[in-house]
Amino acid sequence: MTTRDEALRAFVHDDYAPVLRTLTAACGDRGRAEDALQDALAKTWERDADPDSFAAWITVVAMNVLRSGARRRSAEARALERWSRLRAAPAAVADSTGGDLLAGLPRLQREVAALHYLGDLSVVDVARALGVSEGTVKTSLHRARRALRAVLAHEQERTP
Amino acid sequence: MTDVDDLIRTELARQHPVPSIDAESVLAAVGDRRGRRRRRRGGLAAVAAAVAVIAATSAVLVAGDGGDDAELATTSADAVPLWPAPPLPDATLTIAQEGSTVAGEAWASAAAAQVDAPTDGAHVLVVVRRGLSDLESIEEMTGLGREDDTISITTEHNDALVSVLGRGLDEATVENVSASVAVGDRLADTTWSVPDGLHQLGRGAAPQPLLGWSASYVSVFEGDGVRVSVETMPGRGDDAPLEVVLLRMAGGALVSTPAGPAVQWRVDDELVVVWRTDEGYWVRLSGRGIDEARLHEIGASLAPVEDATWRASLTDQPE
Repeated sequence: MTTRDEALRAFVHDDYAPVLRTLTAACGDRGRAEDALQDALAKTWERDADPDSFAAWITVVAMNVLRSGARRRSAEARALERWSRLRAAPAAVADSTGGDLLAGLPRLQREVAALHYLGDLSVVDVARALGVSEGTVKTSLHRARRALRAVLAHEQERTP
Repeated sequence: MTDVDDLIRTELARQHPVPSIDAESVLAAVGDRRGRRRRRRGGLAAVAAAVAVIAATSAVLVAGDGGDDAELATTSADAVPLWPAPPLPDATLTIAQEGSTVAGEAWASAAAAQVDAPTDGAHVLVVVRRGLSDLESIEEMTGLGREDDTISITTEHNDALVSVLGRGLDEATVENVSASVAVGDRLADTTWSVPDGLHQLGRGAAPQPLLGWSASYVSVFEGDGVRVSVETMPGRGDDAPLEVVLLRMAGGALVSTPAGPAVQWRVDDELVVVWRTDEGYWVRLSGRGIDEARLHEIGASLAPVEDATWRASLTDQPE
């Protein structure tokens, strides 16, 4: 039987990097993604998660950590905005989404697209990971696909 | 899978290659985080122990300044029905706290991550006070687990005391609540600490143990205030604690605040507490482990102070 430590070591060696890639795409920031993933690993280490499904479980926990952080930064940004002497500060805490394909999507669509396309999660698993209904995932995925298709088409037009 | 799906997948894979990592470094970093989590749980255990001390001694605070025994005089309590009391949630936990600031603004925020299901009765408060007891501002978040469960609060006073508190939260839920407090441009550590109420118990009159005897306390105050009085049925031997918390009308909704001490006492004690606070604040009585029929045996008065001065009695003094 696989022990928890063995399962976590196996996860870090085999699955850590691809999960980190998915989380990075979901939030647009490698540092935050890594922070969330390691936090999720530390939590999972202490719990009785099924060692055979660590990857899925850790992804769920890491997404929760990421989303919690996003909400906190949003609240902090709103608070900072109320500081007249720090009106310029919110830009410092805004998401560093960069110029990637998912950058223009709303947060939920971005997360759904990252988990589905990069993480290879099914609609059911994405819904579980994000704590939303399957219908919400399908709707978000449909809208994301439509938006991304337009972006790709635009880029193809610009390519000589 | 459609062509569009293929295109998106290919482009995303190109933009986000699988990163190379040092597995042993990752494991070491995770080990460090586990250590920090263990230390944080140590702080949580200290909170639980401190709360247990309150319940065991039924310590009661008669809050306020300016009163002494010579000023105490007899008063009678209004007989009004007890405010419908919801079940008392778990003890208040301080999620994050920054002490009195020396200068500059402070702000705090709290956010609840997705939890398995919204936790009934659980809420997070961000409280800003001046000094130990004057409530400056408060924001409350309930229904943890919703999409937009964030709150933030800002104060511009340089003596603000900012607390992020959770009530009705079990440890598992607390793990999904993040909180931060900043003073000036410095983000304070998110730490666990002993609830504020414990510190406030020593302010004003010293905490009075009520075990084994029955007493009625009222202090004399001047200025605005809120009075709560409770007359219970002595001798019933019911150990179930009651709690008094301050409430404020906020947009038509009642919110609770730990800005005043959360007083607990035994049902077979008699107690009158007067809080000196701003107008517009009300008081709620809550009972833990008390059924509705038992609550109706408790006469209570909840009223804003109408008169600048309240007279009080101290009867059945302890031997």
